[in-house]
Amino acid sequence: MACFTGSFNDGRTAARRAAVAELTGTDLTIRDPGGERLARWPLGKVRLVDAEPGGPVRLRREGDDARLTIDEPEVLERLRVVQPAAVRRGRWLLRWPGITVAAAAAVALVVGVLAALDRLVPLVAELVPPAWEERLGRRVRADVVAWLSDGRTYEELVCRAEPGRTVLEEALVDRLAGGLEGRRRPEVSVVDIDEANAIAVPGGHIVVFHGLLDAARSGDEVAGVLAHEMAHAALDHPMQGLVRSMGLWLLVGAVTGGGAGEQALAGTAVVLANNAYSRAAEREADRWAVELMNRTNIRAEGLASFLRRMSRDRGAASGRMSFLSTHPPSRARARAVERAATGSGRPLTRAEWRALRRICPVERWWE
Amino acid sequence: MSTRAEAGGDPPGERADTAELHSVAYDGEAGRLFRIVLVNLLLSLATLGAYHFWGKTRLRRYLWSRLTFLGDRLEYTGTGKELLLGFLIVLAILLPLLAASSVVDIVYGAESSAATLRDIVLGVVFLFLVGVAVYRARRYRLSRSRWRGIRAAQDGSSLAYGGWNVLYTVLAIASLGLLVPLRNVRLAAYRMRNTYIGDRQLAFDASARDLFPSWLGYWVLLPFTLGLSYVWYKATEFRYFARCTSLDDVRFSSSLSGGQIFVAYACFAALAVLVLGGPLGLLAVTAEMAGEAAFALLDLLLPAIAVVIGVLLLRPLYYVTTVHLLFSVVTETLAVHGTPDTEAMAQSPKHLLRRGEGLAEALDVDGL
Repeated sequence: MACFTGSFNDGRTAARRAAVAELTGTDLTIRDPGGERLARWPLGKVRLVDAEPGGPVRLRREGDDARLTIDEPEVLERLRVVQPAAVRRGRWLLRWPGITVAAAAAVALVVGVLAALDRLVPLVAELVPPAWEERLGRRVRADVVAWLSDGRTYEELVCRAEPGRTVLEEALVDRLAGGLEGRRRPEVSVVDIDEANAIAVPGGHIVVFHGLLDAARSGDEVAGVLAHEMAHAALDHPMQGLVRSMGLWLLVGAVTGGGAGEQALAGTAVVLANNAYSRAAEREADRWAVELMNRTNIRAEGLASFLRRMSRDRGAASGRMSFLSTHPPSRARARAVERAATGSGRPLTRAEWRALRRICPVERWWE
Repeated sequence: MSTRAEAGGDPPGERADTAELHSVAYDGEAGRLFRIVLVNLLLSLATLGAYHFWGKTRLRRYLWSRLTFLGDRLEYTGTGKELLLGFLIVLAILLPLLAASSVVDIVYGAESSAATLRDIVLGVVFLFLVGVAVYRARRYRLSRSRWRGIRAAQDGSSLAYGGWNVLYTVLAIASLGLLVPLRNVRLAAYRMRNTYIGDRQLAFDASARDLFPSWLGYWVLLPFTLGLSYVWYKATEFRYFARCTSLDDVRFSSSLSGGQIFVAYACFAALAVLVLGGPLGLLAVTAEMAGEAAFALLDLLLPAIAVVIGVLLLRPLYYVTTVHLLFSVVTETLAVHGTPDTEAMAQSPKHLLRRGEGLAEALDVDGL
């Protein structure tokens, strides 16, 4: 039998009484200093409230409001010896081995989930109903146009002047579409915005900005860019990008438990991860575009020369694949394109190229 | 007859009018806090968020047990399971609503006037739900807090509180912020007057009129200080609320200053910038240096890892700086005037609330 000093609360009032605790093989008996018994707890019912290092040991009886505070930490050892179930040990995790295991598990899970995401994203993207995808694509297109033109609409800015339009449809899109091997023919349009870029949005829509026609030096270069965008569309990259970012956001929400601060910052992780995925998508689109141009006998060197000249940064956004990205470095892309190019045809005559450049009806003094 | 304790916190003459001064002591350790929060986060990550509830419970158990009054420490008796259950119940209600709302948004866009009306309705519903959530969360935390075995409790209706939240918040917004003290006082009064420690009810005799004069000064300064003057107002309000709170003959006072609150948050902000800037800087440098071949792999992993590390450290840092500092500073500056009659303070008669702050969990207003 061992004796310990401390204090006792009977759980009926907030009064505190000095107490002496006697520990036998079967019970914990609590008495006041005068010897009067205050309570008797069967050891099987004794539970630990807490026992932080440097502090008192607090005990309770299961199902009771009473509390016993013992000043001497040795009582814990006695309790473990006499009745192991009475005392929990949960502090291993807080020491470095525990933290390392927890960290390793976390990393393993993150890697596992990212890998699973990679497999799942294309499947989910395919499941999206075409009607939704179409609507979504039109929304994204409208948003991008509004953003780049300070609020104007797609319908206002789309260019259809002849003979540029026919050149676009027949000499470029039809020719490239011939190599699509049964895939859906994308809807290509030119919009009067002064950006040297082109985008593919969900639903098989490709938007070429007039600035690209100004920045390109030949029809080959435009064909190259178009092939690249058609690759994105054919490989379903726009929809996959959206699905991936939604998936990452859901993941972030689950993991951070909804803490607003972390969500905002983890959002940065999502954006960066997205950019990384879209750079991979850019490389894949380059490869596919070269194959497409090879199949339709167009010289892919146009794409390469355009890449070399352009070195602007573009991040990937949700729902659209921008032609130019931060990475991979454009020179490396150009070299990769040149290495794989086998086509030799030039898709546009000089006259057709001039006509294409005039597809937007705005008068420019130098043309 | 029970003998009066010599040890323990019941000094002789406690019913006399000499107001004894007591304080609440906080002895949490920053290092320990950091590790608890870090492990919580890692395990939450490893379990896709499931551990979050147990982690939060563990953190609360630690923090509560670091507070001492009259020689005895507080105790937190909540469980992770309760929090999880509450969360699941609310999720079953909220998730279909959220899903429908976002699908509508994607497919139909948010331009129409019907959408604007919907936004207003949603705003009101949101304010109401936040009020309900905050009240229920507080009820849960109080009912799971014990001192010397005596439970705290919160009476009142969370639905009523939700309604008051809508009313007073709309008033505060409509008055361009002038009626903020009215809102804060009315909401605090509902909370405080429904708070019980054992069977003793708190009294709260604040009036918004007392706060308006000082609020006007802070209100005018809001745009010039980018909102920071609100921090100083909150300190003034806290000191006032402390003076207005009483438990039987026991009164409270606080000397908490706005500067102390500001420092608690500023420390975190400064550290956060350092912690995030580090990985991002590293990222920029390695991105420049990586060769083409290794690039593809690094490209994908590095940014995500760098930012994840930063984010992982952020929450533990927040607790170690802001939360830890606030706990320290609030308890140091709080004075308790008079000694509660602990013999007369009986156990709480209210029935235990079974569910956790489910709504609060889902809406993220649960604070600690």
